[in-house]
Amino acid sequence: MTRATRDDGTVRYSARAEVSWRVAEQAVWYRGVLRGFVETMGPAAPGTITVDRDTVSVEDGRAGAGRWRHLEVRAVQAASRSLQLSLPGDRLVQLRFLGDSPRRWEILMRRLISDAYEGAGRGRVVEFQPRITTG
Amino acid sequence: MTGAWYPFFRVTLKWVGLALTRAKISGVAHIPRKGPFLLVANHESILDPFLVQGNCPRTTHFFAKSTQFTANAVFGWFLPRVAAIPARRYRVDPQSVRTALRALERGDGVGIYLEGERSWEGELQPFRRGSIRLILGAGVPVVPCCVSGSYDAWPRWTRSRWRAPVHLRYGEPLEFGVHDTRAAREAALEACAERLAGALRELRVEPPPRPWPTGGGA
Repeated sequence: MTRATRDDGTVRYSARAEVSWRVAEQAVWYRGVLRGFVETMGPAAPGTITVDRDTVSVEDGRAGAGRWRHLEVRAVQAASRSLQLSLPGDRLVQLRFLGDSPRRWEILMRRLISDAYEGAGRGRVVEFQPRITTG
Repeated sequence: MTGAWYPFFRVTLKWVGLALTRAKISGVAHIPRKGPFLLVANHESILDPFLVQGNCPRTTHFFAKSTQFTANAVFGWFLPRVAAIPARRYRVDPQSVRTALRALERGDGVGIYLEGERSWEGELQPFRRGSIRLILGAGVPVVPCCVSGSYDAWPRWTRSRWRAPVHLRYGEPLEFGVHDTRAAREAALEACAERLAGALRELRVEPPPRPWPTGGGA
């Protein structure tokens, strides 16, 4: 994780990661009964996640990349050795960090999102998955 | 609808789990002999499913994170055969709840790791509110189950396994009644979560002092 302080005093964090986007969901059937759905992730590409006080951006040179306000993020969770972010437009991005801890990023993202919600007067976040919920 | 593989794999899980942990098991008699039930457990380690599901004598459909089903072809084949229910954690997943309720209607058990993921620090984490709503809506006996020491044997943040005393204890079934309206479930949410956390803490066996500073997951 790289930490940088801008001229205006705000702090920005970034890290390199293998970035993959959900491309489909498939049904899981067993003995003729639908058990549920699982996501299919597309190919991973090297990219970067960058966060500051207000936004998170994912850059991997592909169409899904972009920048979102923390208030737009739908869910945050660590999945095994990756971090998953649910984004507007029913998009899901998975970041597998190269030499960093998904737990550390999960804590950082959750703290920034909590601060953004409280700063916007939207209450205290009580749950970050399956969707961000305030209490 | 679990097929012939389930009993085979359940016994396999049980013996693999016991071989890996030498866990001390108690309270299996608390699991109802017939009828639907919910088995709710804490989640400290990847070892937990071997112990909790392997030692439960009834067919129990456990929620499992959806990414496990696509981790590789072996998991994709294996998990439905041990009655795992894929749960998408990045969105509300009504299909996983429907599958669980159907299993209860058939008289099977449904297993939930209430924290929704393995603990990073070996301590009980806040429970998923969706899981508590399912418990309140289902209105079936709830068997608490606490795994103690599996975090010390194989914490989430390492690939190394250590030798540590592991205990698995099933508790007496709890009744929460049927809360068939959303308002009723929301009103009972906090009290239900507190009661379940209390039941799990009562079953917990405190591990010996850890050889590493706590909070090492970050």
